[in-house]
Amino acid sequence: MSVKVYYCKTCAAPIAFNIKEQKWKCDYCDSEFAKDEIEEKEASESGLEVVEDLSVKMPELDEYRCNACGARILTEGNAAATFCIYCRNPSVIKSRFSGEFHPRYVIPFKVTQKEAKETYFTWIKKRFFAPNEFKTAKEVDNIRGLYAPYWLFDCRASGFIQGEGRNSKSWRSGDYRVTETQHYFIRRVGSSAYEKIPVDGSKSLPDELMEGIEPFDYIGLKDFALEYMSGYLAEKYDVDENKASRVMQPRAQKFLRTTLEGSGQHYQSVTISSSNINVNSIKAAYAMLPIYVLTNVYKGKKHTFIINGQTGKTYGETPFDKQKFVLFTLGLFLTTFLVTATGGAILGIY
Amino acid sequence: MEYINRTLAKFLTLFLVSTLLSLTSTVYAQEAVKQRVFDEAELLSDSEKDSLQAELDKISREFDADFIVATKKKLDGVSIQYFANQFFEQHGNKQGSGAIIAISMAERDINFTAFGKIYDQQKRRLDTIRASVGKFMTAKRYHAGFMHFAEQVRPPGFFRKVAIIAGYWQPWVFALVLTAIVVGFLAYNHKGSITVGSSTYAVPGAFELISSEDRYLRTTTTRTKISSSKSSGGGGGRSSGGSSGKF
Repeated sequence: MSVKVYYCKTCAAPIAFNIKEQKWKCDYCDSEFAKDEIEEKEASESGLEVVEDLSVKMPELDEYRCNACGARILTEGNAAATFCIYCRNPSVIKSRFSGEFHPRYVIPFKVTQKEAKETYFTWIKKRFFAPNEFKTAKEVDNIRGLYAPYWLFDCRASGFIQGEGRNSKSWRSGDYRVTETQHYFIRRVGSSAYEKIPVDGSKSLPDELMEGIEPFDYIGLKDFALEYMSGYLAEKYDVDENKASRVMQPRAQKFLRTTLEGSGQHYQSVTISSSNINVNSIKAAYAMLPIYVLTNVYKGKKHTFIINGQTGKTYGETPFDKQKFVLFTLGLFLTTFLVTATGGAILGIY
Repeated sequence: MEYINRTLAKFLTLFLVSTLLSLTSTVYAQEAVKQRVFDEAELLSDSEKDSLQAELDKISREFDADFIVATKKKLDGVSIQYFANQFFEQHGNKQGSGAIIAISMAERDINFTAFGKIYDQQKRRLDTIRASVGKFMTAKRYHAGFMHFAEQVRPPGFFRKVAIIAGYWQPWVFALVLTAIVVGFLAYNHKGSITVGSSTYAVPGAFELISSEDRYLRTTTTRTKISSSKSSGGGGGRSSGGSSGKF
């Protein structure tokens, strides 16, 4: 099984993608390379890589040999880019990006590890009822940058919605308030097209959380190249296109339903009684999108916090300290009550 | 020596005279005690009247006001409120402060009216005091009821004020609402916000509204009564207010 390592053209040290420069940078001699420069180098010094015959169906091995120190490394089942645990040498497991696992696109990281940590702190500090132990610096060290496998779906949606629209006006007549409501039957038929609706291709990333860090800015979308993976963790998908499509379709249906509701004649309130929306012409592209993940375990329950590695948008579950919540609520209630009562007594309102 | 004796005698005389003066003035004050219990309906025994009179005297002096208890056999068509006002002007005072509790046995009417600064202190509790005294009247415990009046009409101390306010629903509701708002604000957004909308991934210009139908069905009309609040105007001079009811 082959492992791909990219080397510095100047000093031959292993190099990784640098977020700040959006280039590949050598940590040892500070040389910087653009993408085409390292590709060129690789071609001229192909001797550093063990050529692997991809046509041979090999059982997926969970072990590889580090090119730098020769240690045998066991990887997690879906890891596609990783580090040698002994020498921190960045490695990209080529077979896990080839064939059906070859991504079409990649969005490189824009948010650095340091910025991600700061983002987490800002976020957790605003979560008043989060347990105090999650607000410590120790916790944040577990945050890791990851290229997550994503399916980007293009599709068309068409269908109808029908229901009731209501407009009401209200006026005063003598001692009465009169409200008059006009009811209308409404029906809207329409279609729309959507592009690159993202659905994550990893079972370990909860879909409802992944929606929270959307949208990615597709201006930063690039054709996939293995070089981007160097220096990061990456996973290959374990949710295939068809399964992911079943997650995408309800979203597309919801998008069209909302658009149809807002189209045509406008009403003060609308109730949809029935709708039928078909999603067709589905095309999927496999992509590697950058995220930071932090998993907190609190009282046996996992809480995942995710940062969009491109835009910095955050979403996540915070552990909720029930005891803190109950005590604070009771305390606040009693304090407010006592202040109100004594204040009333002092001001003579009784 | 003679000089000293004379000075001493002077001092002694002065002391005696002043003691005598103060004594007579006390006697005079005791003699000027107003009648405060008017028991026409004969509900109280003599000893009960005395103890009630003593109690009313005490609080009248303490708060520089007149506190009066009046019982009637029947009112002869006058309203209990009118009777209470008249009676207080006659037997209490015309300008100062005070309060009267008046009952009439034939009509089973009870009235509590406060004047001047006692009114200012008790204006929110007129009904409460009237009702709590009324309960004693219903139970035919007249003396206890009037003693209770003398106790209730006393301006509450700080802790009793707090206790009285705690009995109202407003501070509870206020505290509840404020707590709900603050806790809700702090607990809100524990995940983050979803910013993806129906247009995020839509191809610009791709939406096509193929057909749109709007058919009028019906019109419904609802009427709700608007509750109007009444405000009562106050007359000139001292403020006063009363609460009447049956017992």
